[in-house]
Amino acid sequence: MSVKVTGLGIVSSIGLGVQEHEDALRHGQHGLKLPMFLNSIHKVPVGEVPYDLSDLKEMLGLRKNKTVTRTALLGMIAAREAVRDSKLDVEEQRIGIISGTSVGGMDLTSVFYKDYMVNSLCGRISNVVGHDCFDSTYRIAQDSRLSGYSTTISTACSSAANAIMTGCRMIEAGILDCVVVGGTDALSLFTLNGFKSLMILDDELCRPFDKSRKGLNLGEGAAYLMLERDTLRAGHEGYGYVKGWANSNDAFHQTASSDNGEGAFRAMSKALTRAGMIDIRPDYINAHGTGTPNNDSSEVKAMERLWGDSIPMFSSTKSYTGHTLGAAGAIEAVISFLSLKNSLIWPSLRFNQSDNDVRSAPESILKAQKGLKNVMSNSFGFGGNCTSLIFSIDK
Amino acid sequence: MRCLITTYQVWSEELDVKSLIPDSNIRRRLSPFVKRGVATGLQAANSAERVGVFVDSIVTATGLGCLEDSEKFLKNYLVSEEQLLNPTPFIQSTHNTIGGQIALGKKLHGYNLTFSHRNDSFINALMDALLLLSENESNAVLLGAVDEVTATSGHLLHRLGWDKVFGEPKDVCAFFVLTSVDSPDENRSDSLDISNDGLVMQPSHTRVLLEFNCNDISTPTDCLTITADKSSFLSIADSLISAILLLEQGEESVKVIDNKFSILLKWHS
Repeated sequence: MSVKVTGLGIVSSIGLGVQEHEDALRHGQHGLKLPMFLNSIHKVPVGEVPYDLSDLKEMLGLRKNKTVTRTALLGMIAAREAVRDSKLDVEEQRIGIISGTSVGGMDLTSVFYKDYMVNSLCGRISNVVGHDCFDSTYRIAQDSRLSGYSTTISTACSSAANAIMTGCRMIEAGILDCVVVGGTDALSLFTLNGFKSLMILDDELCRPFDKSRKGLNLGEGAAYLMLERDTLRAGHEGYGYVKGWANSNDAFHQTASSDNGEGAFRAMSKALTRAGMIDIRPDYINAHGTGTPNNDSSEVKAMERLWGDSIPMFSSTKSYTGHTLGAAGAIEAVISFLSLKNSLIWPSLRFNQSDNDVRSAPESILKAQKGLKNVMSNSFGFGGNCTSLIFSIDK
Repeated sequence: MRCLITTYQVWSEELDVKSLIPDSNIRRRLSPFVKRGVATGLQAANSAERVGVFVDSIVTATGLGCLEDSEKFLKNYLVSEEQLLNPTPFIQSTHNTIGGQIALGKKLHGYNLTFSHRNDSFINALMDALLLLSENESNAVLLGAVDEVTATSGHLLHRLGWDKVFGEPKDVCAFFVLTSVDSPDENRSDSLDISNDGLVMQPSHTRVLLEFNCNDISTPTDCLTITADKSSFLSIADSLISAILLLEQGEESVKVIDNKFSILLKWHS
């Protein structure tokens, strides 16, 4: 049995919806700049979705005074698009939703806590009810009328990739016929200050794989994919298939990646085996590529261990969107399917020069690649969590 | 869906945290909640090793994650106005911190996932562990349930009136080692070291069979039934522990039920 992808939905700093993403990617338009809404003392570029809470509610047709976290709103927008795009009558299906998020409703928790810490009787309680990871998934499921199996995965920056993997496994096992998978995460002072305290935020635009890279730019957004058993609607044209998936652990350090990229190496190898591609190189790798010195060198080391001097073309589209944490795996999955659809390799923006640590160079200009068939997408997170997915045009 | 429970462990002050987490730097940095979870998970995995079962995958469930670390970091940046922050509580605030630290402690490179979905967190994690076993992706899964009640979360649940509806919120810290029903038994030793907290199923050559049924809410008349309460998001894990203890006290089978599913536990020979 194969897992077919029949719907895509996405929102990030580079656009609202799949079409705007395709346009931005083609034209090299990134979404990284000083934030309009996130009110931090740190003046660093971020990939902020250019709509405030009331804009997002209006888009969704929600009441202005309804308390909903930014994480849930972004998720609802992307999931609606994926469901609509799939043309599935979701109420007639054995359907589920599996969503990833790292900090859930931390955007409103932070607002709540500012008042609460002064006086524990203060703070609008409705701002903290959506704190847990469940909240956004539940609201998305309600909003898109997904009444079956529902769960949330929270493994930091690989959350959405793991949600995609889990959806594939549940379809394979025959537990579900179709499932909406992806992730959502909003910018918050919590994560911005977290990465700042780790000293891996670049105060300029991030430069994944470049010699001068200093760190990541944080982003936000959401993306969902409709996965279905390929025999559910045999004649229905989809975007392609999820052919391989694997999760491995680096077991090296809570936040840093091992020098030889052990976890990444294992995840990529296992995903290739799962896809039946032991001797076939993917045509393109949408790398995790955060732009931190440690991640990028570790990830390339892992690729070099797999393919020696002839590693596949790769790039990091975090140079467009910033690192969207728990949503990144899904945002990059949609971007990978856009790559397959258009036979285009998206460039790593702002790459100039390789360094000794990162010998291999990413693609730095838009490249048409005839016959593009297989794309690998990597997502790594805190806790050594490494996930690799393989998307393919063919079954 | 079925599996065997080889060992289980709940947090106890008697666990030898120092020998379970020998690196003093790591031990010092971990918050009490994370430390309890890591030590409990490692103890369950170590007990399984003594009967020849080696954990290769980890699936954890948490309703609210590492609240203490999250709150500490939240407070720090609000109070300090985003200046000179210690990254440690941020690093440990992710929901998969405990699963990751156990992998680190045992150098486990296998599958490692964390489910966080309010009252379904543990059932979703259990289903995932069962799926892993059925896919032959794992020989033994360490399944954990970890949630803490902090002063703040207790107070907020009270403000929301949840404690009145669901009862006083409770900490949960329980781990289980699950293997496939057809997993080979040859390596199991005859004389088990059960002096250590009595973690290994007794008697030595029987293990507990777990049978998970979706949409089965019928209450059987032929065996004891435990209805999971809602005092914690992970109450079902606690109910499983209670069920195992009842088996150890001589019950033949015990059923844990919820409004959506049932889990039948009985001795497997």
